Amino acid sequence: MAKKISRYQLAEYTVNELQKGSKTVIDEIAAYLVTEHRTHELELVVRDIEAEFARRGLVVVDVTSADSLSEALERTVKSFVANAYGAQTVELRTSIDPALLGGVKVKTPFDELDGSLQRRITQLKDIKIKD
Amino acid sequence: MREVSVKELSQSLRDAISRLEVTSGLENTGVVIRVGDGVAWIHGLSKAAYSDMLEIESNNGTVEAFALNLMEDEIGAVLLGEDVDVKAGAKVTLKGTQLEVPVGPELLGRVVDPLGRALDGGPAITTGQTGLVERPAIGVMGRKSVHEPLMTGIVSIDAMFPIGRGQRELIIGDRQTGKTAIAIDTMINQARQKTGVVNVYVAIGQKRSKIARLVERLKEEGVMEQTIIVATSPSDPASLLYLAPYAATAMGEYFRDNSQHALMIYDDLTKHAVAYRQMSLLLRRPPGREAYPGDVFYLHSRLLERSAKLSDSLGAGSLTALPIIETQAGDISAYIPTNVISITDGQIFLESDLFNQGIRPAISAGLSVSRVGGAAQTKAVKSVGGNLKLGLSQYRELASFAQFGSDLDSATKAQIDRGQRLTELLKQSQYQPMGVWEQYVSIHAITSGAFDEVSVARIKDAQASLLSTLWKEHKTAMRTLNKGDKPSDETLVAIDETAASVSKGFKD
Repeated sequence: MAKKISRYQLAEYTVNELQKGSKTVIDEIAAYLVTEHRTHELELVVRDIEAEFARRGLVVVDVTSADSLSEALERTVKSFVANAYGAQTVELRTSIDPALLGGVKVKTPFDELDGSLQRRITQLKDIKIKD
Repeated sequence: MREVSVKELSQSLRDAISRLEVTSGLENTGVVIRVGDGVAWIHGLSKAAYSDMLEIESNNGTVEAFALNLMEDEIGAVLLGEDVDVKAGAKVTLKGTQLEVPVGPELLGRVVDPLGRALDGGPAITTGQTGLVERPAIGVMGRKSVHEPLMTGIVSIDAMFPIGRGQRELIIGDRQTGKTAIAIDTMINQARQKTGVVNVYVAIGQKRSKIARLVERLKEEGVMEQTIIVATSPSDPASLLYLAPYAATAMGEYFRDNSQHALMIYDDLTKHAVAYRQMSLLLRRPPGREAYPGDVFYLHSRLLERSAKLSDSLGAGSLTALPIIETQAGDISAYIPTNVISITDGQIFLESDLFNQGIRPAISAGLSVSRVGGAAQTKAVKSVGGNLKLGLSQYRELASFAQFGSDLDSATKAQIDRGQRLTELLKQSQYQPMGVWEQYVSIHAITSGAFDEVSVARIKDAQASLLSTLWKEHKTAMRTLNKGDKPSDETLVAIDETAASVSKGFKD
């Protein structure tokens, strides 16, 4: 029986091939996941590929805010992430969630920074309950 | 090496601080892939270390877990709460700490769970300190050899298999042979003899009704004020059963490290091993002998190695351990019993046959041993208990041989007669631990031959009469004897005379 290839190995292979300029690697990975009945792991494989890219200096960041991001805020987030991970390139994937009420939620492949107003209010509520 | 000027150093420090500030607030996160049977599999958390605490978001707040399996693609974590609250896709945050429990004198008199939460309906416990649940055992140089006695109050143990402070003595036997009774009597004796030893009783998967009965009894005996009970029931998750002895040891270590003496009772490690087996199998670790994982020896060795007698430079505190193991049909060569026998400094083996014959405590003289306690035995008991073990073992062998009804020579008959009386004398009711003077006088009465004329059936009555007479007439001498030193010649004469006169009253 063939040994199961770990998601980490898949991610490493994909990033290597993409950085070499391969145009077929995505099709190869898709075919492998279908053949091995591992399509349910798709989201996890994507996360692992993003994590591998982040280790090599390209960080994709999910930024959620209550309102659309201003250019200044985008620059701040980019420089924050670049400093935190020593990344050469930072790419933002933005989305809007009014439930956050204000502030931003930044999510990298490894960490999360919840700077939303919703979180602050929850924290204040917890402190009040404990008192 | 590059030379650094004060100005550059200052700038470097500022840069380092600004780099630290820019990353503050970032939490290492992951996501639950699947969950069930008290185990969650988590994707992400690349910075998690073995035994690190995790926090999983759920509908009812958060559920704590600790990482046990660090694999290439995922982490296996054991939940400390109910798994029904945790859903796949839930966010997991790395807390960056190892599991700690509250420790300190505030816990005395309380019944708590392995996380230090009150179970006795009393107020929430707030302590000034916390202790690491998993902590390495003290090193060689921090230890001292066992030399102070830890009196159990049970004559047959204190005379034949003495236990010292800092020793690990296993109590092993089938179900319903009186294992817990020995442990409880030892706890009671600490209060009766005012030794100041703190008791920590760990109930691993015990019925709640049994724990409630134990607490009531300890309160009646006035022992509860110097006792901590760490309780888990069969309905608790396996993770809590697994944690219980480690958490309780952390609580006991507080007293050891503060120049006090503590006694740990692990009731019982068989259930602990079973809980760990359950966790390991659910974490898909390869099963070995009897389906236990490969590190089941380390599970108990790292726990029991934390019991120690500390050196004077570390305060000379001690942590004594009485682990309990339940055997099946007296088989001490099974996997877990042999493991724990090899880890501990001796074992007290309880036999079902003896128990059913009414010999209680049902201690097997042949299979029990105390490897280091001899150095800690009180001089008084040592002076009379020297040949007791050998004599009793020989008697039991001879007695079974004599059942065939063959003719016996007078020496053998005398040995059997003495053995019968000794066996009768060593019978001891539960919750009746004895002081040093009571033990000395009782054994001396038999070994000196003073009770040779008393019929076996009346030995216990004669013993009670002797003890009450001596206490009435020679209270000061008995108090001195209770301190543990050998009796003076005058005291010995008084004991011999009283024993002779009591013996006359019990002749057939």
